[in-house]
Amino acid sequence: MIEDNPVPEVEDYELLARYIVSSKEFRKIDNTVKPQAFIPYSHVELSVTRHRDATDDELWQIGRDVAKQRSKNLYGRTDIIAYKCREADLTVVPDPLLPENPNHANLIGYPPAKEDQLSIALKIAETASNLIPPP
Amino acid sequence: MTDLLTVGFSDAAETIRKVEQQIRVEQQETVTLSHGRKSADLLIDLEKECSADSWDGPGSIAVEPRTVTTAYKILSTLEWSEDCMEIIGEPDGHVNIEWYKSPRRILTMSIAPNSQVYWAAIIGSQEMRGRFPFLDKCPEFIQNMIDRICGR
Repeated sequence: MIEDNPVPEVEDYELLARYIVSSKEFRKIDNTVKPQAFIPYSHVELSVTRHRDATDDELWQIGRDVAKQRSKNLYGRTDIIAYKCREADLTVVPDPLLPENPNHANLIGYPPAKEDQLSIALKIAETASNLIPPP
Repeated sequence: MTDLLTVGFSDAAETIRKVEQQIRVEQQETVTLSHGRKSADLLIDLEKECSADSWDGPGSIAVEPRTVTTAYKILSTLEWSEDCMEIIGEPDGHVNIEWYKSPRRILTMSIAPNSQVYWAAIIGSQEMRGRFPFLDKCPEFIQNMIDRICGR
Protein backbone atom coordinates (compact mmCIF):
# COMPACT_ATOMS: atom_id res chain seq x y z
CA MET A 1 0.00 0.00 0.00
CA ILE A 2 1.08 3.60 -0.45
CA GLU A 3 3.30 4.70 2.42
CA ASP A 4 4.51 8.04 1.08
CA ASN A 5 3.69 11.15 3.03
CA PRO A 6 2.24 13.17 1.46
CA VAL A 7 0.37 10.68 -0.70
CA PRO A 8 1.39 11.15 -4.35
CA GLU A 9 -0.97 12.53 -6.96
CA VAL A 10 -2.72 10.02 -9.22
CA GLU A 11 -0.76 9.50 -12.42
CA ASP A 12 -2.46 9.09 -15.79
CA TYR A 13 -1.63 5.42 -16.24
CA GLU A 14 -2.51 4.25 -12.73
CA LEU A 15 -5.06 1.47 -12.44
CA LEU A 16 -8.03 2.19 -10.22
CA ALA A 17 -10.29 -0.51 -8.76
CA ARG A 18 -14.02 0.01 -8.42
CA TYR A 19 -15.62 -2.64 -6.22
CA ILE A 20 -18.83 -4.19 -7.48
CA VAL A 21 -21.24 -4.83 -4.61
CA SER A 22 -24.50 -5.01 -6.55
CA SER A 23 -25.59 -7.59 -9.10
CA LYS A 24 -27.18 -4.70 -11.03
CA GLU A 25 -23.77 -3.28 -11.86
CA PHE A 26 -22.64 -6.00 -14.25
CA ARG A 27 -24.14 -8.13 -17.00
CA LYS A 28 -24.24 -11.79 -16.12
CA ILE A 29 -24.25 -12.76 -19.77
CA ASP A 30 -20.67 -11.57 -20.40
CA ASN A 31 -19.42 -10.03 -17.10
CA THR A 32 -19.15 -6.58 -18.65
CA VAL A 33 -19.67 -3.76 -16.18
CA LYS A 34 -22.69 -1.49 -16.50
CA PRO A 35 -22.53 2.31 -16.43
CA GLN A 36 -24.40 2.29 -13.11
CA ALA A 37 -21.11 1.25 -11.45
CA PHE A 38 -19.75 4.69 -12.33
CA ILE A 39 -22.63 6.95 -11.28
CA PRO A 40 -22.20 8.59 -7.87
CA TYR A 41 -25.97 8.81 -7.16
CA SER A 42 -26.44 10.54 -3.80
CA HIS A 43 -22.79 11.54 -3.60
CA VAL A 44 -20.82 14.06 -5.62
CA GLU A 45 -17.79 11.78 -5.86
CA LEU A 46 -17.15 8.15 -6.74
CA SER A 47 -14.85 6.02 -4.58
CA VAL A 48 -12.04 4.03 -6.17
CA THR A 49 -8.90 2.32 -4.87
CA ARG A 50 -5.52 2.82 -6.48
CA HIS A 51 -3.52 -0.28 -7.39
CA ARG A 52 -0.30 1.62 -6.75
CA ASP A 53 1.98 -0.26 -4.32
CA ALA A 54 -0.86 -2.59 -3.31
CA THR A 55 -0.72 -6.38 -3.52
CA ASP A 56 -3.61 -8.33 -4.95
CA ASP A 57 -4.41 -9.60 -1.44
CA GLU A 58 -4.53 -6.03 -0.13
CA LEU A 59 -6.84 -4.93 -2.94
CA TRP A 60 -9.24 -7.78 -2.20
CA GLN A 61 -9.14 -7.15 1.54
CA ILE A 62 -10.22 -3.55 0.91
CA GLY A 63 -13.01 -4.86 -1.32
CA ARG A 64 -14.21 -7.20 1.40
CA ASP A 65 -14.11 -4.32 3.91
CA VAL A 66 -16.13 -2.06 1.56
CA ALA A 67 -18.78 -4.75 1.07
CA LYS A 68 -18.96 -5.43 4.81
CA GLN A 69 -19.35 -1.72 5.64
CA ARG A 70 -22.27 -1.54 3.21
CA SER A 71 -23.74 -4.93 4.24
CA LYS A 72 -23.43 -6.11 0.64
CA ASN A 73 -21.95 -9.00 -1.27
CA LEU A 74 -18.62 -8.50 -3.01
CA TYR A 75 -19.19 -9.66 -6.58
CA GLY A 76 -15.77 -8.51 -7.68
CA ARG A 77 -14.03 -5.44 -8.98
CA THR A 78 -13.49 -3.66 -12.25
CA ASP A 79 -10.28 -1.84 -13.13
CA ILE A 80 -10.14 1.46 -14.95
CA ILE A 81 -7.24 3.65 -16.07
CA ALA A 82 -7.01 7.10 -14.52
CA TYR A 83 -6.56 8.99 -17.76
CA LYS A 84 -9.78 7.52 -19.17
CA CYS A 85 -11.63 9.19 -16.30
CA ARG A 86 -9.85 12.44 -17.10
CA GLU A 87 -10.82 12.09 -20.77
CA ALA A 88 -14.41 11.92 -19.53
CA ASP A 89 -13.88 15.32 -17.85
CA LEU A 90 -13.57 13.95 -14.33
CA THR A 91 -10.78 14.71 -11.88
CA VAL A 92 -9.02 11.93 -9.98
CA VAL A 93 -7.84 12.97 -6.54
CA PRO A 94 -6.11 11.02 -3.77
CA ASP A 95 -8.31 10.69 -0.69
CA PRO A 96 -6.44 8.40 1.69
CA LEU A 97 -8.63 6.87 4.37
CA LEU A 98 -6.13 6.28 7.14
CA PRO A 99 -5.18 3.87 8.42
CA GLU A 100 -7.26 1.30 6.55
CA ASN A 101 -6.98 2.47 2.93
CA PRO A 102 -4.19 4.90 2.03
CA ASN A 103 -4.88 4.01 -1.62
CA HIS A 104 -8.39 5.44 -1.60
CA ALA A 105 -9.14 8.07 -4.25
CA ASN A 106 -12.18 9.89 -5.56
CA LEU A 107 -13.48 10.69 -9.01
CA ILE A 108 -14.90 14.20 -8.77
CA GLY A 109 -16.41 16.74 -11.14
CA TYR A 110 -19.62 14.95 -12.06
CA PRO A 111 -22.11 17.40 -13.59
CA PRO A 112 -25.50 17.66 -11.88
CA ALA A 113 -27.65 16.68 -14.89
CA LYS A 114 -28.50 12.97 -14.96
CA GLU A 115 -28.05 12.65 -18.72
CA ASP A 116 -24.53 14.09 -18.41
CA GLN A 117 -23.72 11.63 -15.61
CA LEU A 118 -25.04 8.76 -17.73
CA SER A 119 -22.91 9.88 -20.65
CA ILE A 120 -19.75 9.99 -18.53
CA ALA A 121 -20.57 6.61 -17.00
CA LEU A 122 -21.00 5.08 -20.46
CA LYS A 123 -17.57 6.33 -21.50
CA ILE A 124 -15.86 4.96 -18.41
CA ALA A 125 -17.73 1.64 -18.58
CA GLU A 126 -16.62 1.27 -22.20
CA THR A 127 -12.98 1.15 -21.13
CA ALA A 128 -13.42 -0.67 -17.82
CA SER A 129 -12.27 -4.26 -17.41
CA ASN A 130 -14.84 -7.01 -17.20
CA LEU A 131 -15.86 -8.03 -13.70
CA ILE A 132 -12.92 -9.63 -11.92
CA PRO A 133 -14.33 -12.07 -9.36
CA PRO A 134 -12.71 -12.31 -5.93
CA PRO A 135 -10.32 -15.23 -5.40
CA MET B 1 -54.04 8.47 -18.58
CA THR B 2 -53.48 10.83 -15.67
CA ASP B 3 -55.04 8.38 -13.22
CA LEU B 4 -52.62 5.69 -14.25
CA LEU B 5 -49.62 7.91 -13.84
CA THR B 6 -50.56 8.98 -10.35
CA VAL B 7 -51.61 5.71 -8.74
CA GLY B 8 -50.44 5.43 -5.18
CA PHE B 9 -50.72 1.73 -4.42
CA SER B 10 -47.68 -0.47 -4.38
CA ASP B 11 -48.96 -3.56 -6.17
CA ALA B 12 -46.98 -3.37 -9.39
CA ALA B 13 -48.73 -6.36 -10.90
CA GLU B 14 -52.09 -4.67 -10.52
CA THR B 15 -50.69 -1.39 -11.80
CA ILE B 16 -49.24 -3.04 -14.87
CA ARG B 17 -52.42 -5.02 -15.52
CA LYS B 18 -54.38 -1.78 -15.59
CA VAL B 19 -51.86 -0.15 -17.88
CA GLU B 20 -51.99 -3.14 -20.21
CA GLN B 21 -55.76 -2.87 -20.34
CA GLN B 22 -55.66 0.82 -21.04
CA ILE B 23 -53.09 0.47 -23.81
CA ARG B 24 -55.18 -2.24 -25.45
CA VAL B 25 -58.21 0.02 -25.34
CA GLU B 26 -56.25 2.92 -26.76
CA GLN B 27 -54.75 0.80 -29.51
CA GLN B 28 -57.93 -1.25 -29.99
CA GLU B 29 -55.85 -4.39 -29.60
CA THR B 30 -57.00 -7.68 -28.18
CA VAL B 31 -53.70 -9.50 -28.56
CA THR B 32 -50.81 -9.55 -26.14
CA LEU B 33 -48.57 -6.53 -26.42
CA SER B 34 -45.19 -6.96 -28.01
CA HIS B 35 -42.74 -7.98 -25.29
CA GLY B 36 -45.44 -7.17 -22.76
CA ARG B 37 -45.00 -10.24 -20.59
CA LYS B 38 -41.22 -9.99 -20.28
CA SER B 39 -41.40 -6.27 -19.51
CA ALA B 40 -44.17 -6.83 -17.01
CA ASP B 41 -42.31 -9.64 -15.23
CA LEU B 42 -39.11 -7.61 -15.02
CA LEU B 43 -40.93 -4.56 -13.69
CA ILE B 44 -42.92 -6.55 -11.15
CA ASP B 45 -39.70 -8.07 -9.83
CA LEU B 46 -38.08 -4.64 -9.77
CA GLU B 47 -40.94 -3.08 -7.84
CA LYS B 48 -40.89 -5.87 -5.25
CA GLU B 49 -37.17 -5.43 -4.74
CA CYS B 50 -36.96 -1.62 -4.79
CA SER B 51 -40.23 -0.45 -3.20
CA ALA B 52 -38.79 0.60 0.18
CA ASP B 53 -36.32 3.33 0.98
CA SER B 54 -32.78 2.02 1.66
CA TRP B 55 -33.37 -0.96 -0.65
CA ASP B 56 -29.83 -0.50 -2.00
CA GLY B 57 -28.24 0.62 1.24
CA PRO B 58 -28.48 3.85 3.25
CA GLY B 59 -29.66 6.81 1.20
CA SER B 60 -31.23 4.81 -1.62
CA ILE B 61 -34.71 5.95 -2.60
CA ALA B 62 -37.70 3.67 -3.20
CA VAL B 63 -38.87 3.21 -6.77
CA GLU B 64 -42.45 4.48 -6.84
CA PRO B 65 -45.31 2.64 -8.56
CA ARG B 66 -45.84 5.61 -10.88
CA THR B 67 -42.25 5.27 -12.11
CA VAL B 68 -42.79 1.57 -12.79
CA THR B 69 -45.98 2.47 -14.64
CA THR B 70 -44.17 5.02 -16.80
CA ALA B 71 -41.44 2.50 -17.57
CA TYR B 72 -44.02 -0.03 -18.67
CA LYS B 73 -45.80 2.48 -20.87
CA ILE B 74 -42.49 3.48 -22.47
CA LEU B 75 -41.64 -0.15 -23.20
CA SER B 76 -45.09 -0.67 -24.64
CA THR B 77 -44.46 1.99 -27.25
CA LEU B 78 -41.15 0.52 -28.46
CA GLU B 79 -39.95 -2.53 -30.38
CA TRP B 80 -36.72 -4.44 -29.74
CA SER B 81 -35.32 -7.95 -29.77
CA GLU B 82 -35.68 -9.76 -26.46
CA ASP B 83 -32.04 -10.48 -25.78
CA CYS B 84 -30.74 -6.92 -25.72
CA MET B 85 -32.83 -5.20 -23.02
CA GLU B 86 -32.45 -5.10 -19.23
CA ILE B 87 -34.35 -3.22 -16.54
CA ILE B 88 -33.01 -2.28 -13.11
CA GLY B 89 -33.89 0.06 -10.27
CA GLU B 90 -31.48 2.88 -9.51
CA PRO B 91 -30.59 4.12 -6.02
CA ASP B 92 -32.06 7.56 -6.82
CA GLY B 93 -35.54 6.03 -7.31
CA HIS B 94 -35.37 5.96 -11.09
CA VAL B 95 -36.04 2.97 -13.32
CA ASN B 96 -33.24 2.27 -15.77
CA ILE B 97 -33.82 0.56 -19.10
CA GLU B 98 -30.75 -0.48 -21.06
CA TRP B 99 -30.46 -1.69 -24.65
CA TYR B 100 -27.00 -3.22 -25.08
CA LYS B 101 -25.12 -5.17 -27.69
CA SER B 102 -21.55 -4.04 -26.98
CA PRO B 103 -19.78 -1.16 -25.22
CA ARG B 104 -20.17 0.91 -28.39
CA ARG B 105 -23.77 -0.09 -29.08
CA ILE B 106 -25.66 0.92 -25.98
CA LEU B 107 -28.57 3.14 -24.95
CA THR B 108 -29.27 3.73 -21.28
CA MET B 109 -32.49 5.43 -20.22
CA SER B 110 -33.24 6.63 -16.70
CA ILE B 111 -36.90 7.30 -15.88
CA ALA B 112 -37.72 9.68 -13.02
CA PRO B 113 -40.94 9.63 -10.95
CA ASN B 114 -42.13 12.80 -12.73
CA SER B 115 -41.92 10.98 -16.11
CA GLN B 116 -38.82 12.88 -17.16
CA VAL B 117 -36.57 10.54 -19.15
CA TYR B 118 -32.81 11.03 -19.14
CA TRP B 119 -30.80 9.10 -21.71
CA ALA B 120 -27.32 8.61 -23.09
CA ALA B 121 -26.06 6.44 -25.92
CA ILE B 122 -22.92 5.34 -27.70
CA ILE B 123 -23.51 3.96 -31.18
CA GLY B 124 -20.33 3.45 -33.15
CA SER B 125 -18.47 6.74 -33.17
CA GLN B 126 -21.51 8.74 -32.05
CA GLU B 127 -21.96 9.76 -28.43
CA MET B 128 -25.35 11.29 -27.63
CA ARG B 129 -27.39 12.28 -24.61
CA GLY B 130 -30.50 14.22 -23.70
CA ARG B 131 -33.82 14.24 -21.88
CA PHE B 132 -37.50 14.37 -22.73
CA PRO B 133 -40.77 14.31 -20.81
CA PHE B 134 -42.69 11.10 -21.49
CA LEU B 135 -46.32 11.88 -22.21
CA ASP B 136 -47.66 8.98 -24.25
CA LYS B 137 -44.92 8.17 -26.74
CA CYS B 138 -41.16 8.33 -27.10
CA PRO B 139 -39.48 10.56 -29.67
CA GLU B 140 -38.84 8.71 -32.93
CA PHE B 141 -35.08 8.91 -32.53
CA ILE B 142 -35.27 6.60 -29.51
CA GLN B 143 -36.75 3.81 -31.62
CA ASN B 144 -34.15 4.55 -34.31
CA MET B 145 -31.35 4.17 -31.79
CA ILE B 146 -32.78 0.90 -30.45
CA ASP B 147 -33.00 -0.43 -34.00
CA ARG B 148 -29.36 0.44 -34.59
CA ILE B 149 -28.30 -1.21 -31.34
CA CYS B 150 -30.42 -4.34 -31.50
CA GLY B 151 -30.27 -4.72 -35.26
CA ARG B 152 -34.00 -4.96 -35.94
